[in-house]
Formats: sequence, C-alpha cells, structure tokens
Amino acid sequence: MFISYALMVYILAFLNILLRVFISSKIAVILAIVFSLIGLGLNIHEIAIRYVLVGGFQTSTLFDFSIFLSIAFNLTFLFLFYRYKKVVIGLFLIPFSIMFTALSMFTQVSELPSTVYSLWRFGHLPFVIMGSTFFIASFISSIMYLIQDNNLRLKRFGKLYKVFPSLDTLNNINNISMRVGFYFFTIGSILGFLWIVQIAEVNDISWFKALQFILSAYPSFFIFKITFSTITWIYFAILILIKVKYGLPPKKLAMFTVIGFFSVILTYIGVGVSL
Amino acid sequence: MYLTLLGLNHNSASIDIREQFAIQEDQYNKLYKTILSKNVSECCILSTCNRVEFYIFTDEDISKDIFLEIIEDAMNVDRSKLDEHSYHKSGREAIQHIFFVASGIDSLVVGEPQVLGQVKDAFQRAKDNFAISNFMLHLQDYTLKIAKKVRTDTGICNNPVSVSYAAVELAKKIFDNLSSASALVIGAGEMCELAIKHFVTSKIGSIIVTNRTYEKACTLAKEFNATAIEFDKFSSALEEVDIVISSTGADYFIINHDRMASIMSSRKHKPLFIIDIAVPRDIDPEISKIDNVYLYDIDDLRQIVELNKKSRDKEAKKAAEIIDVAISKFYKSVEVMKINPVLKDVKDFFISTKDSELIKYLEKNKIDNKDEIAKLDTFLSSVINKQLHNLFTNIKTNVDSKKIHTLADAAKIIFNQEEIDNSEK
Repeated sequence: MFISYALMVYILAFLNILLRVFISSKIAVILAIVFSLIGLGLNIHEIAIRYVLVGGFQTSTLFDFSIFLSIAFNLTFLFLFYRYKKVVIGLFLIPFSIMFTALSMFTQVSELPSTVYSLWRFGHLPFVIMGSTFFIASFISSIMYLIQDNNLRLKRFGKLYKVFPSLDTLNNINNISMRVGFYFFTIGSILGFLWIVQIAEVNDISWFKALQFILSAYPSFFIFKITFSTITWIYFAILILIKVKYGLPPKKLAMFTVIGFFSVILTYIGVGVSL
Repeated sequence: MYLTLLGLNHNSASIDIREQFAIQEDQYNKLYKTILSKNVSECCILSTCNRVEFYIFTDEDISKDIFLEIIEDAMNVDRSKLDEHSYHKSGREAIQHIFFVASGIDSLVVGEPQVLGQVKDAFQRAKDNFAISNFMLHLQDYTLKIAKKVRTDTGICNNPVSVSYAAVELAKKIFDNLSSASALVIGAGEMCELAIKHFVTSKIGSIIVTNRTYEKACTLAKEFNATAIEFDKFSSALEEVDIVISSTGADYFIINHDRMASIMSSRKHKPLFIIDIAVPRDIDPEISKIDNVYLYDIDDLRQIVELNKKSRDKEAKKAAEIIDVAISKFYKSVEVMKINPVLKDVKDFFISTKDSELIKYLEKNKIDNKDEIAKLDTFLSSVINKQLHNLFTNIKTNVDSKKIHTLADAAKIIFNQEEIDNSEK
C-alpha cells in the first residue's frame, strides 16, 4: 500500500523536476523536494513496518534491497541538491528511485536463513548501496560534464546547455560523489568482511567458505555483484589516488569516470548474460 | 473617467526628435502644474532616453488634438512635429501600453530591466508633484505588480542581449562562482572597458589589465580597482587566470596554438575561457582545439545575442497574454475601488446601529459588567462582519456587470448569488 504511494510521489517529484528544467517553473523545485521527502518518508516507513513485523532489519532480501536502493538514490539526490541547489541532477537520479520502488512491488518478501544472521550485515548492505548510488551520481555528473563541455566547445546553445549547471558545478558534483561513494563503499566492504569473519568463527570454517556460505543464501547473481563491486571499488580507489597525487583535469576525470563505469557495467552485464 | 496617453518612442521618432522632447529634472514641476491646470485630474510623465509619454486621467475623453494643445502649452514645442511623431491611446489601449512598457515588451531591447525602475521613478515624481491620486496610485500598484509577474513567469529577461553580458553569462556556464575567478584583460579600449564593467557587476574575484601602452592599462585598472601589468608579462598571467578578454589592435595573433598548448600544460589543464572581441582576431582560432580551452570570438557572441533576442521575442508573446488577462482584472479592481467608499459607508451605518442598539439593550437590562459588555459587543460585531463579508463579496464579484437589473434582482444578487444563478439557468 505505502509502496504504491511512494511510487506515486516519486513520479510526481520527477514530473516537477521536468517542469523546472523545461519550463523554468520555480514552484516546481519546492514541490520536487517536498515529494522526494515524502517518498523518502514512505520508504522509511516500509522499512520500519518490516522491522516491527520481523523483529529486525531485513536489509538483505531482494525486496528490502530494492527499497534501500530507492532510498539511496533519493538521499543522494537530496544531498546533492542541498549542496549545489541544482535540481537537474534529479532528472537522472529520481528515475532510479521510481524504478526500484516499482521493482519492490513485484518482489516476493522473503527472509534470509538465520544461519547467516549477523549484526554486521545490517550495516554492510546500506553502506554498499549508498556507495554504489554515489558512484552512479558521479557517473551521471561526468556524462553531464562531457555533454556541457561539448556544447561549449561546439557552441551549441540548445536546451541541454541552458538547463545543465556550469562545468565547475558538475566537476564538483563528480568529485564529491566519487569521494562520498568511496567512503561509503569502503565502510560497507569492511562491515561485509566482518560479517564473513563472524560467520567463519561461528561455524568454524575458513573465510572463503564463510563467503560461499553467505552467498548461498542469496540469488546467484550476487556472486557477480560482489566481484564487480570489488572491481569498481579498486577502479575508483586508483582514480581518486591519481587525482589527489597528480591532479587530473576535470574533463579527464569525467572521461575516466565514464569509461571506468561503462566498462564495469558492460562486463557485469556481459558476464551475467553469458552465464 | 478616462485614461489617455500621448507619447513618442524609439519606434515613432528618431533620436534627434526624441532629444527635442526629452524632459529635464527641473522642468517637471512646471510641467505638472500646467497640465493639471487644464481640467486634468491626474497626470504622470515618463521620460527616458527611448521615450517621452504623458498619461492623463480626465473626466472626459481627450482627443489627440486637445492633448497636443495641452502639451504644446505646457512644453512650448512644435505641435506639428509632435503630432507627426507621437501616438495617442486611450482606455484599455493606454493601460495595455503602460503594462507593456513596464514589463519591457515595448523596449528597444525587449525585456531590459531598467525601464521598470524608470516607470517606478516616474510615478514617484508625479506623487511628489501632487499630480496623482486614487486612480493613478492604483494604476501604479497594478503596473509594478504585473511587470514583476511578467518577469517572473516568463523568460523575457532571461537571456543576455548584449555582447558583453553574453560573455559574462557564458563564463557562468564554465565557472560556478565568478567571485573566485580571475580575469586577464588584454587591451584598454572601449570594448574591454565594457566587458570589465559587466564582469565587475557580476562580482568577479580579481582583474588584471595589460596593454601595449602601460599607462592606459594603469588608468583602466585604477578605474575598476584592478591590477595593471606590462604587456610582455601577460603570458605568465595566462598561467593563473580563468578568463581572458582580448581586444587589441594587433594585426597578428598575439597568442598562437603552440604557446597556448604549453601554457595549458603549465596550468595543469585548468579550464580557460577566452573571449576574443578584437577584429582582426587576437587569438589563433586553432587554440579552441586544445582541451579545456573555450574560445569565443565576436561572431560567436553575436550569434548568442541573436538567438537570445529571438527567444525573448517568443517570451514577449507569452507576456502579452498575461497582460491581456491583467487588464480585465485591473478594470474590475477599478470598479471595486469605486464602490469601496459606498461599502465603507454601509459598514459604518451597521456599526453605528449596532452601537446604539447595544447601549439601549444595556440600559434596559441594567448591565454594567465590563466583561459581559465586551462579550456582547464582540458577538454582535462578528455577526455583522460575517453578514457584510458575504454581501460585499457578492457586490464586488458583480461590480463590473453591464446588465441592467431591477431592484429585486439586484437584491437577490447581493443577498444570495447562487439562487439568482440557478434561476437564470
């Protein structure tokens, strides 16, 4: 019930962002933020209901995973709006909230077996999800940067030129999203590692076996998710390191973000399809 | 009562004609006095570099001939010349005209913001000269309100239509915050000065000026609180600044591709926005191929200005629609304004009746408790206010009705709007 309301308000938020971007309606900005906040409230309400019914956070089932992804994209949008006051980024982030809220409506609410129960997993997935979401925001802002750069270079002053923020802002969004994403992802990975260690100790098995044991409780695609999440983390770690140490020009940073993200996603999809 | 306008502007008269009719600050007082002595109830004069307009409010409709006579007497100008180059509008057309003027639709550069301030000043000056009262004060409030609405609800003043301002707006698409950006100005001519003015207005962080004649650079730098450097040192400044504005008289490229490539390497490819407004160009166009360099010449900027002008013209059509609705609302509000004194009298009558009846009741029932008296008074006042509110709303809603009603019908309208509507159906 609340999920369908959440879906509705996210759609309304998206429509208001469209109104802001294409007909410059100022009231639409306020409405977009209000609807995003209501959607966030409804999503959190869903998680709270699950907490009461099940007696704990169920962050690892596909249903909860979808709700958390929806929250994560919404939070990322609200954070970037708060920081840069540019609603246009929502044009690319809110559709993800809509998509994952809709997905959760068609997902069976299932529980994880209690054998893989651990306090660490309550922290692991939300952090990794937030990390991934900020990486996606970084990817989106990079694409916007390259489009805006192209507009300025080729002197094309169409609608996108007008509605996209300055190169500086897009570069800042890219930078901050990459860093915040990296922090979240790193904390999430550490928590995941602690989860493995705990399961290994409880069952007196090796870490690798504990990982296999945990993964056996999830749908099979989670194995690839973990592999490529690790590759993404390493890629962004290298990118941040190069940027901090040698200073990458904004355009190159945007290009590397897009190239890296595309190759990771394409390989991920490629491997998933071929298997 | 009639509102009439006589005026000339950039469309009806050339600059040399407009100059002859331009009004100096010390002339207003005498002008207002003379015009108001000609059976004119209220008057407002708007004089800017692009227009001179007289708005008068009179008991009778004023023809162009009579209006010309009034202005001829007041200004001592050549009547035939004024007749030839002026326009005359009255009623709805005159109201539409002032709304258009204040909104910037009638301006030489559509959407230019200064005219709203000039209209505001004109009304204030008229007020200072005791030339306006109820109607014009109401017109002033409405005009300013509509002009602001047009500017907020349409994109009429969104896109820059001057080359210098277009350059500033472009810079804002590269740099988030101009206050932390720095600019290098190569040249000290008029175009450079204009560009600096716009960047200073947009609160640019710092400006460096260079010129072949160092003294000229110093003079320009002093005017805008900038720093002057010698011409042969501008290459090193290029490594630091974010924006370059160049307009020298050189007949060769003062910055070529290879030199810029090496400068970009030194500045670690930090974005650089270059505006080359010189003809012949100062900067090698090949430079635009270097990553993170955004080079614009005068033709590029003019192209932006042309696009923006078209976009403003489009927005002006939207603005005209807003104004069309506003004129009808204005007329209705004028009718309401006219009836307000009557409504006030009605309310006063009810209140005085309430007060006298309350006194009689208190005396008859020997009530002297202050709290009780206050409660009774509040109760009766709220009953009166509630009843009158409904009646007044019905009257104001139908105030512009052109129908002739019988007294019974009028009473029905005043006391119960719905019933009359239903019976008509």
